[in-house]
Amino acid sequence: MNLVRTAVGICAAVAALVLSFMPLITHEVEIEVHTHHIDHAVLMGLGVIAVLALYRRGAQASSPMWLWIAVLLPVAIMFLMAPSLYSDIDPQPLPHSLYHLMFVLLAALTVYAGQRFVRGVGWMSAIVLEFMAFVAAWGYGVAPR
Amino acid sequence: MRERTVMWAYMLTGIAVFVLMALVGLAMRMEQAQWITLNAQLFYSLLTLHGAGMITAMVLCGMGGLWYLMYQEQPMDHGIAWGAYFFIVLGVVCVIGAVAGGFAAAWTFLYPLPFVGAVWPSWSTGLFLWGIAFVTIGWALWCTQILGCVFQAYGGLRGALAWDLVFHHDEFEKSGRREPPPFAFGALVTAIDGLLAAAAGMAVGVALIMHWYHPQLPIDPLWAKNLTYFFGHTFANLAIYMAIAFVYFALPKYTNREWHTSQVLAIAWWGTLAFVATAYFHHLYMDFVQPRALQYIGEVASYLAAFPPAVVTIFGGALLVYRSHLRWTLASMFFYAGLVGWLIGGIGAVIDATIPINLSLHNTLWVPAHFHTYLLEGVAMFVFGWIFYMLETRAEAFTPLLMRWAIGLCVFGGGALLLLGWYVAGAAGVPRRYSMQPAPGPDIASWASIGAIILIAGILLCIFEAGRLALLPRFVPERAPKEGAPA
Repeated sequence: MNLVRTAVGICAAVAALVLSFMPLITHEVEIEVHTHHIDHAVLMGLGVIAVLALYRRGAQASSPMWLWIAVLLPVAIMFLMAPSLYSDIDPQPLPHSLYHLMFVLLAALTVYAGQRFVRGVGWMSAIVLEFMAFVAAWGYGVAPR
Repeated sequence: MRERTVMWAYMLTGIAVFVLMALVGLAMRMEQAQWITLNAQLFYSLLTLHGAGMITAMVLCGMGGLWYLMYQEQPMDHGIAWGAYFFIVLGVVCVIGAVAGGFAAAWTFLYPLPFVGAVWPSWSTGLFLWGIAFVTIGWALWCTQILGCVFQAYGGLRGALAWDLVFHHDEFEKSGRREPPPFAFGALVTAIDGLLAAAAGMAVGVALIMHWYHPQLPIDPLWAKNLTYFFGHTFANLAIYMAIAFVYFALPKYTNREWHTSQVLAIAWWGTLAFVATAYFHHLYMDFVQPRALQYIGEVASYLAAFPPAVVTIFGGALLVYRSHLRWTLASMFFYAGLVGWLIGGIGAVIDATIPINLSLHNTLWVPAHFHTYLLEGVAMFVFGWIFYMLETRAEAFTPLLMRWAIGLCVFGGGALLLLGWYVAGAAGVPRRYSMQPAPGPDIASWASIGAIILIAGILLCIFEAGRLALLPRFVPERAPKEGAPA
């Protein structure tokens, strides 16, 4: 079981890393905000899966600092997902790729922080983060169709 | 003792905001009765403040009390509780500042109302949005801490849900493991649904704040309305699921009967977990572009949400009291009255959640009727009950009969008159959210204002009585003399 979880975690981490650098391969610059939000949500989802699968610590509570990180990072991520930033970053493949990588790492840190605070809380942090990231695709910088 | 300080800070702040908002509410009702004249802009600013402030006040009280109760099960970090408190108070200050600046788009701040045709300065819109964001962050901090506490105390989600008690009952009994007490279900449901609501609130909040910075940023209004009501409805609804924890804990002390966790109670709370998160769709019945399936989900969830509290908690509470020789004190009186208020407000809500009826009632005073019943004669009663329970047990002293009658008549009588005004006017089709109402609105508002004045007098009597009990010396039980000690 542990082996399967480790394999899933490593695969998700590798996939997140590779997909983050897709702008270097595709050189795509005109991405719809709706699609772009979903791209980010998927990348963050991979980072989240990697952490949840690889996390091994026990159930004991740890520093309250982790709770602050788990709560405040999703808000920061929503600000970083501002569509007005997309138009500046999208034409530059390397910064665009690093921007993606940043989302993966922040998502992973959010869920890790939740798990470090109290084991199990990271799952709720993951749901909150993914809910916000996906739901953004249907209205945040997106006009009614 | 530090945990009591945390609890009292939350509860007293909540009560202070509650009293202030009650006075604001009275001013609005008197304007509708044409007793006083406020200009329309001031009325809508006060309406905004009253809505945002009253819900936050009740939630603050619930947070303080439930945090204290859960602390007895599993100690928590005080710093996080103070951090959450700081964010919420900061949010309240921002909202008050925004309203003072003229913001008047109602607590629902439905896009594009805060931005289009606004007669208030842009900074007050921004301050209001940041205020709501701070309240949401404080709320999310508190919910996450409570979720961690529940997981630690009962062994993760499975233990907190009492899964094994329900599905492996015999093994669970033999294992000697402890099931979560009834109030812990309130904590679990509040934490999970509260975090989902916070996620919706933060998503729409950040979008609106970014729109405020960059007005060219598009937002889908239907999307914004869904998220706003997911956040707002759930946040307000959870106030009572926090406050019912007080009844689960304290009412048995007056009946000398145990309110234990049964399989039925656990399953009922699972239902609450699901239905509270999906009932908000009933706020969008009038939105023709809303997908039809969501309207059905809204109606079904609204109906089903009524069953767990009505069948398990309120009926369970009535059974707990029945022939128990209940000790009637101010606390037990408030707890019992709160159950009645919850039931009446809930019936009003279910009627309004029925789509064909909602067509007639949606924009009438029926809506404030049901949610004021639920908040004023439900949540507020549980909060008052809890405060008096703490004070009564601290001093082992009780309120004299005459004072109980005076408070009871003012709070329940005045409250009933105030609430009846909304129900009658709503049934007559008087519209809500208007500073000036067509007939019979002003006449009804007149006697409702009298009810509000009596109710506020009752609340002031409560504060006086609470102060009296708080100043009494702490009760110290006499120790039995040791064997062999001199008499």
